[in-house]
Amino acid sequence: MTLPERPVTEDDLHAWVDDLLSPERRRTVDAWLATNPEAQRHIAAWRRERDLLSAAMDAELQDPVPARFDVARLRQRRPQRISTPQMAASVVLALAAGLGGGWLLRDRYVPIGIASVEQEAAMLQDARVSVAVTGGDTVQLAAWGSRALGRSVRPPDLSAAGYNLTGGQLVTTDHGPACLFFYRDGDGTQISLFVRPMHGKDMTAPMRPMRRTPGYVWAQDGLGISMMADTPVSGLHALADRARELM
Amino acid sequence: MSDGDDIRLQSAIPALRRYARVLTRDPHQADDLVQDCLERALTRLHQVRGRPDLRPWLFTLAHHLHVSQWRRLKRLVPMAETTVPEQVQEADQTLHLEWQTVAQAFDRLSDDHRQVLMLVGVEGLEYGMVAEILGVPIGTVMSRLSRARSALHRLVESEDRPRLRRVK
Repeated sequence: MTLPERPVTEDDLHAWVDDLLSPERRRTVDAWLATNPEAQRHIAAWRRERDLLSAAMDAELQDPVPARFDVARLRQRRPQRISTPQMAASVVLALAAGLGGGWLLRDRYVPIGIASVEQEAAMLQDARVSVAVTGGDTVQLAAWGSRALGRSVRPPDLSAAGYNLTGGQLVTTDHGPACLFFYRDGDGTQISLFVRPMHGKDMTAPMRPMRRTPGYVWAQDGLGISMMADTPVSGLHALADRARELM
Repeated sequence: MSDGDDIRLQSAIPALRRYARVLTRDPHQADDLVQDCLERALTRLHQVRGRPDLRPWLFTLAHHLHVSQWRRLKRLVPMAETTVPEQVQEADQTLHLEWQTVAQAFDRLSDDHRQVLMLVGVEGLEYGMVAEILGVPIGTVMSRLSRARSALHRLVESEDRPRLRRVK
């Protein structure tokens, strides 16, 4: 080094390895290296291992991309123009993790129409998800759910029946985003309402009991809805009827 | 949403899958992560309209998703840390290609080390960009990079040695 320059640091050596030095700095570092054979050996090894790793991993780029990652196809499956709120974003994942990782129903037989609503709702019930958006009132949760689903959705006010809205959660399904709304009564009994847009089939469907979970499933106005309870709840059918009237 | 953005997104998917594999260490989990990431990306593609290289943006999404989603799962399985190998198996020591040695050593590194080596060395991203993706200060990137390179080198050396003895 002939000029009183910034001393060469280890960061410079990495930048040398990664070709990220400016030409001037590179000259300085090269000059320094010429008098530091130990450092030269280090960076030569780093560089070599960097290039070998890169070569090894480049093979992976040649793997054929599965059809499910076809952007045009993914786009088709999405409901139009959803804008997922930041808050909800983190929520999806909390749930996915609760389900043991991943995309609901992925790579399984995926029923369509209201049968799919039932399957998704039941899986979520099994997953015992925690409440993600708490303390919100009906109006706030309605706004949140509507943003998440990209269409108007209003959690029904069931307080007359003794159930108060305690929160909501955005979840992912194979048919796009869905909202779960949670209600609790004075005894701590929790019920949840699963809501997601329907796509083409079963835009409206009559209410029927769910097969494996205490709950009811139906579709109205292009929304697939399921009301479920943790434990068998007397009057759940009436409550579901009430929810349907209010939604 | 322009077709150009879709094409750029599509063409970044192989790199995204590769990064997801580094994050998850499991091809199936990686593809689940890719799927989540692409769904997310599609809702936000307008934010990066016209950006020529979508990789940093996708990696940021993937990293964020991974941290919030998969780390929780991983807690159930013992976390892999960078360790010095106890024994190198005798069986597959013939005709090790150099890059296989490095790739195997890479697999033994901790998650933090693998990610930084991947983003810097394989994807060729600048340190500031890597700091953004990982959500850490650039100084952290540099210190991780330094430790990762030293660890990788030690592992490569230790895997090389038995092979050389054998060849002799």
